[in-house]
Amino acid sequence: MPWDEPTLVALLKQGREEAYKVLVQRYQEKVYLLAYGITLDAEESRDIVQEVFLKAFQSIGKFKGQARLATWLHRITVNQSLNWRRRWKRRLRWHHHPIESEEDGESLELGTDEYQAANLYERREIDRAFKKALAQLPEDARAVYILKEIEGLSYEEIGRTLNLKKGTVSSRLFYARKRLQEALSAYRGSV
Amino acid sequence: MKTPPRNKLCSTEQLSRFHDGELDARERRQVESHLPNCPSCRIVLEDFDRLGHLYRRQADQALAAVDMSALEQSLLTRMQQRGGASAGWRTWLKPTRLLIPVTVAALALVFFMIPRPFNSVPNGSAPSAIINSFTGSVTSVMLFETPNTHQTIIWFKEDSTANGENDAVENL
Repeated sequence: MPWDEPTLVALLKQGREEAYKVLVQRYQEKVYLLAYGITLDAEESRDIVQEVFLKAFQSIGKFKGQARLATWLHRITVNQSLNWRRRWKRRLRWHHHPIESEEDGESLELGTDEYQAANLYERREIDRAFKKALAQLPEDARAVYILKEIEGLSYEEIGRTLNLKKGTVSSRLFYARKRLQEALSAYRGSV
Repeated sequence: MKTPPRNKLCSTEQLSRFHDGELDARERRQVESHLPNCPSCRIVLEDFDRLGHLYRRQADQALAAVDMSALEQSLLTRMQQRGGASAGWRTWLKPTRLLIPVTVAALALVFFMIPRPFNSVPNGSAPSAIINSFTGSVTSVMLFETPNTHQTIIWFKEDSTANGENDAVENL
């Protein structure tokens, strides 16, 4: 539905169901990706998506329109993702990982020739190394990196979302890139 | 592959800002004129591109593994359930947040204090019931102790408005 943002916000404040549907459809993938980028946990991220929209639903009356709706949702998502209760829960959770999660991607297909198989193997190795390096970043640096790479936000927009100064955004982003670059340096030329 | 040597003009943080289009015009021109003569900085920029590409590839895989329409459906159902009572529901819920743990505490006290014909403790030392309890803005916690075995039970309740009903009972 081609509603502009002020119209959507007004309809959300009236509690119109179709407006909520539009909100969810418009933003749920981005909210999921942001949550996943910070938690690196699919199950956790699905829960966070639900919480973010339920929170938005509860608090839309307080939304003054000074920031963009996306910025507001990003802020809720980051807060939810960094929330200590989740971390606590995560520590308590049984560490059950299905076998597929070890593979993280497509499986080797029968009939692929040696070259393709080697390529696929290398690609998977790189993805695994990248994910590991990403997981080793502090969550706040990861949040900045993800907002940049997924949303393509400017430093100023990231700063508004995370309540940070532009300089801090720049240094965290640089730190994240430097650490990832170091971790992936062995694979230079293979990506 | 080894990174070529870098000189003092090479600032990785500046390159990171250059990569993101965050330099002012003067700084940008400086970097642009430096790049053709510096293979080391060009490699750093290529690395930044590759990292972004890698991240987006992982993000695509993560997204492909989620059934977004099922997620949307479940979300809208929960919203409808909450929306049905809207403001009235929320004003009702606030006092209930306190009411629930208080009621449970009262029931637990009654349970432990009522004299029972069977399994009564003969030595006259009354069993402890609630050791401690507290209710905050996001959680309520109560500590119990069982009468005979003296096991500690932690009753934990999260804020139901934000997280649904997530009670957890642990037996230590």
